[in-house]
Amino acid sequence: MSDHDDLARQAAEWLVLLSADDAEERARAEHQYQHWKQQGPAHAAAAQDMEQLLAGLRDMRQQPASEGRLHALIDGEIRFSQRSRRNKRFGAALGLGLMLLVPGWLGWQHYPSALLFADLDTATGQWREARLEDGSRLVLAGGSAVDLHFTASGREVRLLRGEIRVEVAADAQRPFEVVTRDGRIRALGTRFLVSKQRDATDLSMLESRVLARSSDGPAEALVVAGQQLRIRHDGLDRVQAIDAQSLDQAWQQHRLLARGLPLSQVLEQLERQYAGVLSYDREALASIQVFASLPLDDPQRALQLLEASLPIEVTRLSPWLTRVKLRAD
Amino acid sequence: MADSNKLMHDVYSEHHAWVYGWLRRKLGCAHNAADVAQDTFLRILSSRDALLLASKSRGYIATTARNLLIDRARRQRLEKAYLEELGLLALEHPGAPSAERIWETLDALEQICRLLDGLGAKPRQAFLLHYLEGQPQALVAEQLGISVRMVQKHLVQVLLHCQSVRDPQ
Repeated sequence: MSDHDDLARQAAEWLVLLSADDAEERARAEHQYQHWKQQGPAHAAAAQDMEQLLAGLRDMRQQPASEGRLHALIDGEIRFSQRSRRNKRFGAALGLGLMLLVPGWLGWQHYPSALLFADLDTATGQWREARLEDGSRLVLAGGSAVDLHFTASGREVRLLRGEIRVEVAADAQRPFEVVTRDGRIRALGTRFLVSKQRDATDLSMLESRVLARSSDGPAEALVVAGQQLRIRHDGLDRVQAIDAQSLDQAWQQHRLLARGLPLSQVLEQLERQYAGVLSYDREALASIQVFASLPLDDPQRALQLLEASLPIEVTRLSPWLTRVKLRAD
Repeated sequence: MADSNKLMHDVYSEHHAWVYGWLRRKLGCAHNAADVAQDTFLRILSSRDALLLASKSRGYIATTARNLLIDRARRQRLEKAYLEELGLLALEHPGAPSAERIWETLDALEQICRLLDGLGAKPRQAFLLHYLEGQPQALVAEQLGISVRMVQKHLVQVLLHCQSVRDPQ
């Protein structure tokens, strides 16, 4: 039994190396894998089913469907059945959840340092607040993820996706930085929002100031309260004025405050909170400007509001697939 | 062998009526209920272990029928979603694939859903992005916001999970 499990694990590890990105690594793995399989019939047998499964998936790529659609379909179906199972269990789980909540909270209070080793993330539609070891506060919007790297000489929060609100605790010895693929934001004692977009990072200053820098260029800017800056990997856009107080308020109420945002960008943000796929043509919808305050924690309602006020048509094709397009007339 | 035949006969005659009645109430359609009842007994009669379990427990029979209903509902949802997708596609590229090809794809989709159900979102996404969409591991890592090493760990985990679902030991 355990021999069987060991062989299966080894086979799986070889198969994963066989499709590594590096050609040299792949060739080496291929060579060693063939050698491994020849060690006995049990070795080859352990790998055979998995090889078949992967061949089947490769064949699927030939099937008619637009890019990423089969993936979305499978994912949607699995989320749907997991959700319906969860709903059935919800009644029973609620009692247990309430019991666990209190000890869980106590544990959190007592062991905040556990955060140092764990990345934080949130599911769609789920907000989460964390107090970091240095006393700084981090709130993650739904569908967000960060890595924390706190050392004796610095504090670094890597925003991997989504949006965070940061309230930095002062610590003169250890600078506080938020890092994305597009650039770095160094806090100078402060409160701000950072939002990872598709190909840029948006910084909104609520209080005090930060120093922002792009990742691959010399561009650097001091951004103060009431200003917004888009950071791209190769440079910084012009600083824009924002209403910091309303923005902060909206954020705390889980609302998206759109003041002339392109519809495509609004949908992108809604999609992060939506347990399914929003299908839309980014370019066709980019020219529509949105002025609205939308409930991010109720994306279905937000879509209704958009449909009521814009020349668009929102069609719910299935529980997990919603299409947004320009109205035909 | 004679024993086995007698057991089959007993299980069928003792349980078929209530299974059919239960399905009929649940589905609200005599025709579908008869189909699912038929499938339930086919599944039970196809293995001696299942047959022994069924002869001892109504619960086992009910679970088998319920699983078939879940599979059937899943199949219907997948069919609907995939046919919609083909419909959308046809607007851009006229010319429909053959019915046979559509069924093959649906069978495969169904099987993948069954294999991947019960896994966490990250491992499942990593697996689909890499093996179904053919994206390089580094790109998968970037999209999921995790390291390449973690992607590889997830892929191994999913392969082992699929293996254990297909081939329970």
